[in-house]
Amino acid sequence: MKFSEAWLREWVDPNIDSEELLARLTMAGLEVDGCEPVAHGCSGIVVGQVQSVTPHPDADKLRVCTVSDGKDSYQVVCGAPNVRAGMKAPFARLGAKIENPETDKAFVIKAAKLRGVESCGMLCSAEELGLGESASGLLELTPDAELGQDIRQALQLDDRSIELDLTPNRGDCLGMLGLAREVGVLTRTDVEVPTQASVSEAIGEEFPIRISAPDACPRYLGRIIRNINLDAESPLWLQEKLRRSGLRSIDPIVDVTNFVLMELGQPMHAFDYGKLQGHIDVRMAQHNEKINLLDGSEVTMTPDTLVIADAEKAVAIAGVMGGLATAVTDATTDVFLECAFFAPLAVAGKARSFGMHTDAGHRYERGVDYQLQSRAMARATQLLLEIVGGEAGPVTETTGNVPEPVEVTLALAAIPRLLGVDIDRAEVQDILGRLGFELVKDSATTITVRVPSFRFDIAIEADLIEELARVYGYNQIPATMGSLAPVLRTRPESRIPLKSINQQLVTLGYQEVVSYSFIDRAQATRFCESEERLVSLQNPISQDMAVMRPSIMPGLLGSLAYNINRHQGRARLFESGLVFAKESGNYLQPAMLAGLITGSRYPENWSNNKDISNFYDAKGDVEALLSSHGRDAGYQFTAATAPGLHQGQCARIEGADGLLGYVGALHPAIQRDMGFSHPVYLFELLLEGLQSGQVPRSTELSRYPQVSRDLALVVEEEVSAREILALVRKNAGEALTDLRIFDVYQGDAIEKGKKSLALGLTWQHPSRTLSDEEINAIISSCINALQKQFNANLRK
Amino acid sequence: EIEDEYHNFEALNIPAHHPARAMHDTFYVATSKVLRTHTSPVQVRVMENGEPPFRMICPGRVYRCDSDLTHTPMFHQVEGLLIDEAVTFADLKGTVIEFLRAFFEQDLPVRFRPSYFPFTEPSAEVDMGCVACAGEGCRICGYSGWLEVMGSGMVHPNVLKMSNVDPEKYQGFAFGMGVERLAMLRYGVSDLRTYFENDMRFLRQFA
Repeated sequence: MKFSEAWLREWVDPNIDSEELLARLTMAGLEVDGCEPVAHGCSGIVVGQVQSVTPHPDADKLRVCTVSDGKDSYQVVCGAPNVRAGMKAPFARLGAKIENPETDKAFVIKAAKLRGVESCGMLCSAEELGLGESASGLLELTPDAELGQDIRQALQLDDRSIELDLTPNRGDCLGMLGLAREVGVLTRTDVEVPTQASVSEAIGEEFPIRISAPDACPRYLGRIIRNINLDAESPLWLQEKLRRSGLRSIDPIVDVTNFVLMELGQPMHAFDYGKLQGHIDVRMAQHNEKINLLDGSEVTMTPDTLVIADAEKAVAIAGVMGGLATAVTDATTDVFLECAFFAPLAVAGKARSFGMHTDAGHRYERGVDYQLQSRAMARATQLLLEIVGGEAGPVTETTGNVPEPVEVTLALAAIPRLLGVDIDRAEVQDILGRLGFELVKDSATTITVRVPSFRFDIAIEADLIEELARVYGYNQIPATMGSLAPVLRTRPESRIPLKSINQQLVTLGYQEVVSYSFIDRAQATRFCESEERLVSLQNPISQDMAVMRPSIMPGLLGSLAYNINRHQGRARLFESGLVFAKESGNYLQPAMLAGLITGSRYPENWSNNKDISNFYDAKGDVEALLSSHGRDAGYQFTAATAPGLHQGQCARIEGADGLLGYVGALHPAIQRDMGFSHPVYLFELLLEGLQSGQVPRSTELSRYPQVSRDLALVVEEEVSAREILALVRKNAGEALTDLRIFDVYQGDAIEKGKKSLALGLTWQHPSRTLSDEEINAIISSCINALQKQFNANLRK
Repeated sequence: EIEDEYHNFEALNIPAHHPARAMHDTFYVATSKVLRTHTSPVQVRVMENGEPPFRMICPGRVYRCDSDLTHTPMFHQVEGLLIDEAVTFADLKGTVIEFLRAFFEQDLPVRFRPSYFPFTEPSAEVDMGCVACAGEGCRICGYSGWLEVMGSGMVHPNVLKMSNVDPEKYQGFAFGMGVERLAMLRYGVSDLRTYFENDMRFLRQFA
């Protein structure tokens, strides 16, 4: 909402300067977005009058004029087509300066010879003063302009255009009337609302109005004005007020309706009366009813669209835009003026659904004052008669279901209870009164007010308290923390915080990343079990972000690709967040933690170790995460397949509560497609499972000696380490405290197709020393079991 | 993060035809299933699934169909909610001011400016003195000396009612802040999109 400060001050002129005014508006909830001067900076320009005009001896398009500034006369050469004797125009005398805001330089008027004739000054166009784009002629001033007066005073050029970013609930400030009222409240200044004189009716004709949709259109006013003269031009003062409000002057009819829109906040529309048939019917559109609009578009409507129609067809989308067929043109001689109140819900969303945004629609959907129409109609008529002449008929008013005024009761005790500060009754009544709330009744503890017809956002006590708070000043309210008595929450020790897991990964050399939750369909398909499970967006921001990620792995891979393109060949990345799937109509959104490693195992350093990370590095990191926080090794890694991962290098991880996740190499085809020169290893785990820890239970340490033995086995290469370890554990007795594989060998010394495993076993009994015989027996038992189950033999 | 329209809008007092609910801002997964546009739905779920008093902080991803120099289609917010028997607007001010001063480790000026959210009444935008220019005015604060850092307000009685909390007995405040924005202000990150590129050289600056 753009407005002219000078215009505002015609209605309410608080004793504060510009800066203070803008600050008060912002701090009351009407945020000032911008502020600019209405004209170029200038000096030395006065109101001048052209006394005589003679043709230039050497140039067809130039004229030699004498111009008076009230004291002296000057010779001025002028090329404007509209220059004529007697007219008043801005006259820049010698030495006058005009600033150009783009170059920050001032243009100084000097004596000059134009085609051999001396010119002592310049007559100005609107464009030269920064008053708009029209440079087609001199800016003609009114005949009563005071000769010699500084043009900055004569045209109020020190004015500023202020842009407000209004919240959707303050439709009442979308016009000078409402804005002035608001400023009056904020500064406790009285507002000078001009009285609206009634209009004399020269003719008796009326055009019938029918309202078929009384809820959508509670009030419709119409008036015929005959015999207007469209050759007239809108006066300068009106054009300027519009321009300073961000609206261009188009023709007097549009200008007047736009003016009333800006002055009162009431949208209006003018039809070419000659093109209307029969009567006005405010009704809902028929299914697929079409209309050609003023902006040249053709729109097909549905029965939820409110239209203004005549006896034959729809002539406007109510509250949004008029139709082309009944628009005012150069040939129009009679107009029909519309001034109506449409219910916000009848207009809300309509403009947007047709892809348009209009000043009228903007106001109707936020709520126009439903008592304003008479006044606005009189104002528009008055201005039109002044500018284009004509004969006005009476106003025809038809009402539908006019809204009932709302009453709200405020308990005075609620103010300190909600705000934490008390506002006394006198101030409460003053503020509410100035805001337009009429006192209906009061008691010792309450005040009941009637909500004015221009406020659509006040329904409950809290709404009134907000009004009081913002006028009183949010920054006058104290800042306390009384309600924050500390409350200790217990967080189960067995639940491992995500922060702790993140920290562990960082310590293992990983870097956290955050990638978008939406990815492209092709990549999503590669990393999900089946395409039906994918969740797509109906309105994605782009095609490569159209599907919700079924796995975090694509995001990690994307981050990797980005970094590899920037010469970062070694990466250890992780991310936690939700992944998405659709199953039997339900949306599943489990939280996952995923990691990625690729490239050399160590950053480049002097020890010259150039090992490349492999599957076991990733597996080891997962095991590190799983064995932290008092958890024992209750997790199983089994060879498996998973979407997106290498079939031969992938393990499924299972814990006591079931599937935890997967770790494996990226599928070589994907690795190749994405252009990664090293293999990429990934893991993805269910965060829920990862965060289930255990509260430690301490057990006594044994005072008795440990015994260790090694076992070297030769076995088929397909036999998994897990199975061997499980079997050994089963047979090694309860006193086994440690079991690990410390060597794996395949090569010349071993039969082809087999591998040699070296196992280290350690026993420690809690209450006695273990004898050699016991240990030997256990070893034998293990060897036998291994022989039997896996055909494993001791290595020679 | 896939929310139903009720929890993302209606339960927060944002009805269907509200100007604040233009379809082009919200990602839709299916009819009436959206990607949450703010973390405020969590307020509703907390209230629906417990008994007052409520004290809640909830960080998370949010989504808006918007992509330009200062907007990414996905970002993060932190939501706070405090509902009890005598919580006031003054308490909201005190809490938020203390938080901002602790977060920025500075005794900076904070002001509350009236605004409008359908789910709070009174509603306030919170501005803090620009940390880049100490309030003098610079490019970062649009030469105003103030930076807008969060939205807040007293939870609207309708929101309480819809989530089965008695507004006659309980009241309180809520606030929501943009995580990337605060991080940008604290650490001097100049381009929002940098957060999602995951350039390791950028990430290492925070290792």
